[in-house]
Amino acid sequence: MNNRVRELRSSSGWSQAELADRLDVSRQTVNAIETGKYDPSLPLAFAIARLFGESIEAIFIPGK
Amino acid sequence: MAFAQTRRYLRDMGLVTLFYIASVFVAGVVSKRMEPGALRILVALIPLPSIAWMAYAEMRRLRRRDELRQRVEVEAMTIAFAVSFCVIVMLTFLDLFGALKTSLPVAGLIMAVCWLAAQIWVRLRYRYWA
Repeated sequence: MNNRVRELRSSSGWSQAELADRLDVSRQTVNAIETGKYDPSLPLAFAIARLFGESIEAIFIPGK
Repeated sequence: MAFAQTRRYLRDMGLVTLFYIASVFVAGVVSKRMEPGALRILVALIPLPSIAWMAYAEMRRLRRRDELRQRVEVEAMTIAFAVSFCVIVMLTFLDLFGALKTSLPVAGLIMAVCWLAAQIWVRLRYRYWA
């Protein structure tokens, strides 16, 4: 699954560690999500969408 | 967050580890001076509560971790269980059929090594290849 997390994080001016703190996860989790190595759970995907003020479908795009 | 969790884990595990070492020492010294029997078995099992306490501390640590780390831990444990089970069964057969003499304590060592190797493997996989 592709996602726009890195793009949204960069446009918010946050580091991976800052985003991880806001989502209450580890920086490794944010990195794995951004690089597409890990698809987050539904609650975490909702938290990410809420944080960036977008819908889940606008952030996570079904792909590979 | 990670530092606080690590400090809490060390606090949880530090005390129980000391208790475990002390109980192994006490059980070892006392049981060797006893006649074989039920009481000696009970004394030899003194370290058991501290092992159960360690397992509980490890479960608490797992529950506090975030979802990716929980997945890494569970995958590592699954792989480690499967591999160590196969190795231990293989060694048991070798021992039973007289091909290789093995001792029971080696099973714990095999499980620990498999768990560590699986942890490294799964972490690297999520970092580079997943």
